[in-house]
Amino acid sequence: MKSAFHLLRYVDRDSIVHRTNARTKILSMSAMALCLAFRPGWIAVAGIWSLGAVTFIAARLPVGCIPRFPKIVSYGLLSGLVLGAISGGEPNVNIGSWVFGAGGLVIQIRFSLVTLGLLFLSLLLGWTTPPSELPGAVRFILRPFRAVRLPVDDVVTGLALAVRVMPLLMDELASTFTLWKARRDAQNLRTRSASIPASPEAGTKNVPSTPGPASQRADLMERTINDVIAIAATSTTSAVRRSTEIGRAMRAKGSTEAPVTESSWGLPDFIAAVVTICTVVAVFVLDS
Amino acid sequence: MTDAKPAAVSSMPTTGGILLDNVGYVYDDKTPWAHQALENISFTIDPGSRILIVGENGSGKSTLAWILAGLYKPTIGQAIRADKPLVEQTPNLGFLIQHTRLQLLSPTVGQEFSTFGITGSDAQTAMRSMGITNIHLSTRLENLSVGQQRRVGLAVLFARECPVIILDEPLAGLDRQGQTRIAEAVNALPHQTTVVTVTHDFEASAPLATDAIELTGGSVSKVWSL
Ligand SMILES: Nc1ncnc2c1ncn2[C@@H]1O[C@H](COP(=O)(O)OP(=O)(O)O)[C@@H](O)[C@H]1O
Ligand SMILES: [Mg+2]
Repeated sequence: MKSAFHLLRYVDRDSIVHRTNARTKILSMSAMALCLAFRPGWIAVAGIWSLGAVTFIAARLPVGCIPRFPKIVSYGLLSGLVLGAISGGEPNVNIGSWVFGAGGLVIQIRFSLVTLGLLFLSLLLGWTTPPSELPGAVRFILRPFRAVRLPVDDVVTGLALAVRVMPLLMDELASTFTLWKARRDAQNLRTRSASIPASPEAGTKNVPSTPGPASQRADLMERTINDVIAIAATSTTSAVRRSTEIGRAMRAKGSTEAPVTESSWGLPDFIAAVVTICTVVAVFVLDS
Repeated sequence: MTDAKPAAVSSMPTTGGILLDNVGYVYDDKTPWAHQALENISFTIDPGSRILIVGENGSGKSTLAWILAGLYKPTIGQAIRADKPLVEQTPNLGFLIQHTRLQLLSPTVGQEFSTFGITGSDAQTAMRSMGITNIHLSTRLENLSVGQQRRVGLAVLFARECPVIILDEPLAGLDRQGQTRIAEAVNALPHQTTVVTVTHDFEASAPLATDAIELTGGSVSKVWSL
């Protein structure tokens, strides 16, 4: 349960990053993402991680806020790396008498670092911005897109709802998962005690009626897949029901509009803009 | 009789009982969001006793329930039963959580029973004892009201015959008749079954127990016999 993964979790500190406008932070993140789209090389990876590291230090955040990833994410990254390593490709590395094509692995490493870098920036946004300020900031940024008939207000209302439901969904998902593990243990105990033969002399092996280990594994596999679907469905329906309630409450209060806290621009925003622009320019200059 | 009877909750270790020794629990420990929910909890629960854990909202009752169910590992201290940590014996620790919906993972009522190897007629009997004769085994769980889900959860739990049962707010939101029904079902459990009930409503839950523990701000503030 502890150090569970949360996306929008505010760490109350007084720092230049905390005083920076939410709009500025989102624009800065978007700039970095665009930069990656145009120059997706190692230099951009270095740029994104430098910006992240500088922001992390400037925000005076404790190391303890960095989450431990859910196992499934780590496995996903790891299997990507393994696939990359298997696929080989230039350049070739000589390890003793053995030639290893490191190309695939290198691409996969860069891809992982890009993904994690963008995730790190999102986490930084969450740590340094009160969640209630996000919908207003997004509305400000999307405002120009009203011209192309983007339903900006709907998007913002959805986001306001998501911001409120997200922590709940995260908690419920974690609880459901813990309960599922206990349930699986109870089931396994039952299956095991059911397959213990009545007379000790019969032994556990060579009893024809007992399913073999292979079919038991297949059983377990199927059960696990069904359960994963059930966990997702259960926590989502629960969260949807909850967000319907919150949505109703918001409407009952007279408005579905997210409150807009348009704080003024200041020196922190200027500094953040300069740092971002410098990073983007540096990436383009060095990677040309 | 009541005076001569030794208290079911005490600080004396007993064999086969549940022992909490200086248990504390911190949510998000070692992060900026660290929050101490329990501190210095020490008591033992005799096998077969019926205990009430009462306290205000936020006093740490649910956190303690999750520890007793072996689902949270204490941040400090020990929670053990029969010389083994509670976290290693979850199959023996039956638990009804506060938001029951999250633990009913099967699509239908019948499948929820069969998950735990409880067959048709036993399931029917369990349902009848909870007074839910109008629900079929083929009924989908998401179509049940919160109160009905709770009763189905209880029916499954009681039919599993766990030696220890932990109930988090089992009576919340039920009418008087439903509350009486659950009290009857709890009292009909085998006498060797340990039942710990967590509640903010002492009055309604008193029939479920013989001893009570009060939590205030994450610590035990009172232990008494009912
Ligand atoms: N998942 C969680 N993360 C962080 N804090 C929590 C969590 N669950 C409960 N708490 C906090 O721990 C304290 C005790 O909560 P809880 O055990 O649910 O109390 P009760 O059941 O008595 O109402 C409360 O202050 C609550 O806010
Ligand atoms: Mg509670």
